Amino acid sequence: MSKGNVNDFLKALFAREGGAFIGIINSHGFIGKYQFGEPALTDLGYYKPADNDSPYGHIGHKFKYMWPGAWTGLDGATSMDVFLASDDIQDRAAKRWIALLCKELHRHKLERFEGKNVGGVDVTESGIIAALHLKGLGNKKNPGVLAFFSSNGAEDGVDANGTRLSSYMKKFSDYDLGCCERAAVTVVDRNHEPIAGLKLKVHAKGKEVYSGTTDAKGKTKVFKKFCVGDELKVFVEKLEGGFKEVASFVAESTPMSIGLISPKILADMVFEKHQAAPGAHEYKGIHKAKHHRVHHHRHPHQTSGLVRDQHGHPASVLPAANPPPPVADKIDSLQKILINNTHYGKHGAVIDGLSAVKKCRAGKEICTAKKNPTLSTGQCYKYVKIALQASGFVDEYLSGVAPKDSANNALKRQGYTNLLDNPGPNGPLQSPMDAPVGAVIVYGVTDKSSYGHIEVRVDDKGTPKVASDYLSDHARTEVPGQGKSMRGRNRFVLGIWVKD
Amino acid sequence: MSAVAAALALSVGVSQCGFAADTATPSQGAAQGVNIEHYTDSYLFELLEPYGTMGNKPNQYDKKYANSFKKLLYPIAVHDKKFMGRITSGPTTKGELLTIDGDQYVMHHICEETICNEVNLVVMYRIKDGRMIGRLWQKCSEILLGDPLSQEVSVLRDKQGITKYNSECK
Repeated sequence: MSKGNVNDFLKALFAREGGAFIGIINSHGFIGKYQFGEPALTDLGYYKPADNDSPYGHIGHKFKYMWPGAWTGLDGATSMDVFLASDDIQDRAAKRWIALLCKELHRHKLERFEGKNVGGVDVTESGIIAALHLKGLGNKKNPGVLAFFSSNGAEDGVDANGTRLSSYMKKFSDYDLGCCERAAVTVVDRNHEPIAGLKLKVHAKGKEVYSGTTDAKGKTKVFKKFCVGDELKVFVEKLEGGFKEVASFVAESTPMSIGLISPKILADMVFEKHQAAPGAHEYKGIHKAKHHRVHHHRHPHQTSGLVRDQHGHPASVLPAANPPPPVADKIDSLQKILINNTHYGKHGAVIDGLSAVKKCRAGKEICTAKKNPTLSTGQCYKYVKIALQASGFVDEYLSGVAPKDSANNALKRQGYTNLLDNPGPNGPLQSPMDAPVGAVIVYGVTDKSSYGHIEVRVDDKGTPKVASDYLSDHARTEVPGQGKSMRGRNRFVLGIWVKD
Repeated sequence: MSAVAAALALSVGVSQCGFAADTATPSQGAAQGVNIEHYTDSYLFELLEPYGTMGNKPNQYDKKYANSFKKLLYPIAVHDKKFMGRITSGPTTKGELLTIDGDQYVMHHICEETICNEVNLVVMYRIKDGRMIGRLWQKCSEILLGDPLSQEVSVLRDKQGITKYNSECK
């Protein structure tokens, strides 16, 4: 489960950086709830350094920001006193700061580490943002986040007081910051030729997050300001004026590319027109389109989940590189991948999830080290994530680190149904082993374990078993010979998830 | 007094009567010849460090105050040589003027950078004689410094507000 949103993240950050007071300063001249220095508030537009002010602070007998410059008045912050006295201004600044750090995260492609274990840390977006706040990107002399990732966690930078970058990354993991979601829309005709110059708008949760015109490649600029789980609506301009909704869907992951195809456009338009200068077009045909079809690309060359257009029609029309296999085949593939890989792995092995998905699809093992299939390596969620994606049950690498916190929501977003909420005609399940083959079982904890457990009901040569990073003939809550149980051995069943 | 303070006061066997700390105005019961604003306008590090003053203010370094602070923390610092550096690394408040039983105190908060909720110190300086008391929250427990009286303890606890029930220690 997520630890919360950006406000919860800031609350946790304030507790560590500010304690309980907002009008605070430290001896190096870092100010306020989030301990901003001159460069940060300069970058955010609140502060303008004096002409002779070093951007790196004054160095007298020690490093210190003296704040000799001017306050710009942004958000009403006309002086340091005003800034320090206002909870609201400081929170606004912090949100701007997170947005800025998100840009840094993307600029340096740090999102590629999300979901991986680097130097013993399960990397999340919010963890990276917190580490950037603590140490920045860093440089040779003062290693920061870039060095941490490039050294696979070996260069674990510390701040002046010995706080390790990795500890901040762990402490602030699993918040939904909602600042890094990105998408772009591409509009093509049914021959996949781009439609340029189309005016369109995108709304997220009823608010406009994009308004613009497609370029020569039929693409909009990248837009954000929406979160995973938000309903996105795409509108195109009508000839007679106003905009018409052409697609509506839930953002399941980002970054994403939304493809719109209008079958009417080709028939009604001569697309050579689109090669003319921007702004000089008449796109009469576009507005005759009854509806556009939507294809939601998350990862190139992977199949997408079903997306429906505004009329409820299945709308995945762009050719998928690998069409989804039937469910029975997927269950077969899921079991095969899991059972095979319980023979491979070792404690502490660094496994790149997406590479492992590719390996599994190619019939290779997740890890080369052989092991006893009944032994756990502490990577249950990783193995299940890999197997679910490689078998085609999910079309993205599931988010989160601890199954007890993240798996339920991640599976729900992927269209899974929880049998605990929707028991079948035979009533509630008595045991995870009663779940159908292919069901994903998520466990909570009754001890102090941080992670819980996740496993998949499998059939191993006719014997009912459960598999994750290890294979067992009894569920995690059960003791052999002691009957069925949904709670036991410090675990209880949080969800039994199935997908048609 | 807050419910928390009242509960804490009772837990240490102190009556709620007679020791309520009031936020004082500078003119109330001011020690003669003392510039109260010197304390209330200063961040803790400005009083402690000879070159610590921010901006264009006159130097606020206060040797008597700094010595009281060092003396207060000596029992901790003698076992942990880096403690002074760590605890003074974090953010501090400006002074808050309080009166307890007619005596004026100035209170400052300070904490260890990036772990404010784990290592947190509140100090009270009695202006008339420079006596300093404090409450250090560290390793999920409190350490009372400078032999505070029971009513002073209650004020320190109330103003710092950190207990094992509202911290990450629970």
